Amino acid sequence: MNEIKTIPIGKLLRADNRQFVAGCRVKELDTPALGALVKVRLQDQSEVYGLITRISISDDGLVRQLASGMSIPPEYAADNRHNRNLPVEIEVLTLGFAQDGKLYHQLPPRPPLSLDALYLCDDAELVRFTGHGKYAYLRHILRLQDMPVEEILVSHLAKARQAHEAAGNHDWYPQACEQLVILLREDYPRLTTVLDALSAME
Amino acid sequence: MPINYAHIQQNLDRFAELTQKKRDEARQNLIVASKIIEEAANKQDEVCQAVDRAMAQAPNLYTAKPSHEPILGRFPLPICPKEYILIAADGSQINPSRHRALQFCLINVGLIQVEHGSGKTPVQLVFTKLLDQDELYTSDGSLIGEEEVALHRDILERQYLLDSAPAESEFPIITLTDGPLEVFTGPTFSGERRQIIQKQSELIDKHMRGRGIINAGYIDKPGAEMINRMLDLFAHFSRDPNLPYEAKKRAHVGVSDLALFQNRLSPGERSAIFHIISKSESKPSGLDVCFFLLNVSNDPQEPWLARVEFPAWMVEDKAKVDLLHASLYRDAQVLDAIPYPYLLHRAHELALVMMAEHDEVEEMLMSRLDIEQMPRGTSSHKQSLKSLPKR
Repeated sequence: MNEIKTIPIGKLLRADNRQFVAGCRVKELDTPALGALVKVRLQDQSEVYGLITRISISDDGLVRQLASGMSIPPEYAADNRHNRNLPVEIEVLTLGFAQDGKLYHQLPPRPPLSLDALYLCDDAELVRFTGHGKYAYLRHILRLQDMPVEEILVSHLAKARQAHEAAGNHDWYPQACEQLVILLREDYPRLTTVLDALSAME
Repeated sequence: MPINYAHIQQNLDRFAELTQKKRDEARQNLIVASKIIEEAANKQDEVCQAVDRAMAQAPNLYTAKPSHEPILGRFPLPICPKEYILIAADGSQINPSRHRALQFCLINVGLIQVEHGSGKTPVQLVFTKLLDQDELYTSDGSLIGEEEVALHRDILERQYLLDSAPAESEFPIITLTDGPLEVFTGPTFSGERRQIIQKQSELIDKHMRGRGIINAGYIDKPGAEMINRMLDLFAHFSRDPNLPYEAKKRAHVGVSDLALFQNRLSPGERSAIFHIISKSESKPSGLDVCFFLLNVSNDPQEPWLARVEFPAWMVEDKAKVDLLHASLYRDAQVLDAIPYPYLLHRAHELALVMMAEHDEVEEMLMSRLDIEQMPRGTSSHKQSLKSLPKR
């Protein structure tokens, strides 16, 4: 099991096997991004991997009052962002897990627990997770409902492609696109949208 | 049992009728008081003399006295400097209760400091004080009451404000608390404990003054009738300067300072400065405090007045008065739909003690007593029954 060297970006608020939600403070928000690979280490040392699918910022009565105000001194905007206890919520789609040194692109046997720490995966881990097996984790993303799947896919593939190419693997991205075509062959309208989004990335 | 709504329903007409009567009286009194204030404005020296006469005769008096500024003076919003330090504090408390298993008292003070013009995130602090056993009981052995706890809280707010103010700053410093500046407002207590608190209050004020710190109290929606009482004194002694002062004979009750001034001040304007004359047989003589009324609204049709209190030593320092005026209006405008100083609201957020925290602290204390094998004590039966789960 690798030692986690990065700083946690948030702590878990709620979870089930398919997805989990973590809270973080605004000052921790500069690292996580839509489509980024993250992980949570469980007490049994297994790790649950997921993809950030939504980042939302909560409000309260005071923030709503401030938002309708005419002028907010920059110091008070900073007060609301950094001091007040309004966490940013990071929603994560579970993509797989690691147990006893092996990776699985399947849902984990147990979800993480509340207040488990959420870590951002570095490029090496992104390459290791996405390079494992035959892109089986993509099916979890394509199953998403009421989410901008194309945008999440594009964001994820761009990050993963960059990491793989930096590691000298230039075949990963074309093969990922081929796999997407196979997975979406029964859903032509969606395939077209995904391919349009991917072509916009070029 | 729920409220007997039928009984309330039966009384609604009477309530509305009496409210209308009360409001009509107040409206009538306001018309008279408004005429008197116009007259008083032209005889400011006589107003001062009337107040002085009453002060000499009355053992208890709570009124206003004109300062060097004309009574009906209106002072426009000064330009707010870009750089200044504003520190607000607010407190809340757990009052000791003989009905709980353990008697303790906790004071929680939330403090927040902003360096305007720096772009920096404000610094927020929470100070929590558990009162010692000897502070918890009076000399006759009974638990201290809510007024005394409030007094401890107010003193702590001011002490933490003083301690938190930067020792050296190139920018002016304003400290702000919610409510009157004078800590001895409610019914108080006597003896050694009063002297200790009084000394502490005087010392804080002395240090604030020595360091040039503007120390202000903000009273939202003030209900006091200090100016109206001053007008009563003026009218009383105008009839005959030799008439004895009778505290209980007031001509035009029910006219608040707010009512007298709310249509006289435009958004951002302040009233003239008045001295607060607060004299009581049961209270120690406290700080010399002044105030002005400030229209913190930005809507000419919807005035909203606050009373701003500050130490009398600031009266002649126009720069400090202007800074207090401008900075408070600016801070209240941050929440312009509900104008109230933003930083004071934040201090309140920080200070607030919830019931769950009350229970948590009590459990912490009792667990510590368990280690010492001391008896936990028991709740009163009344408290135990009240604590039963509700349907």
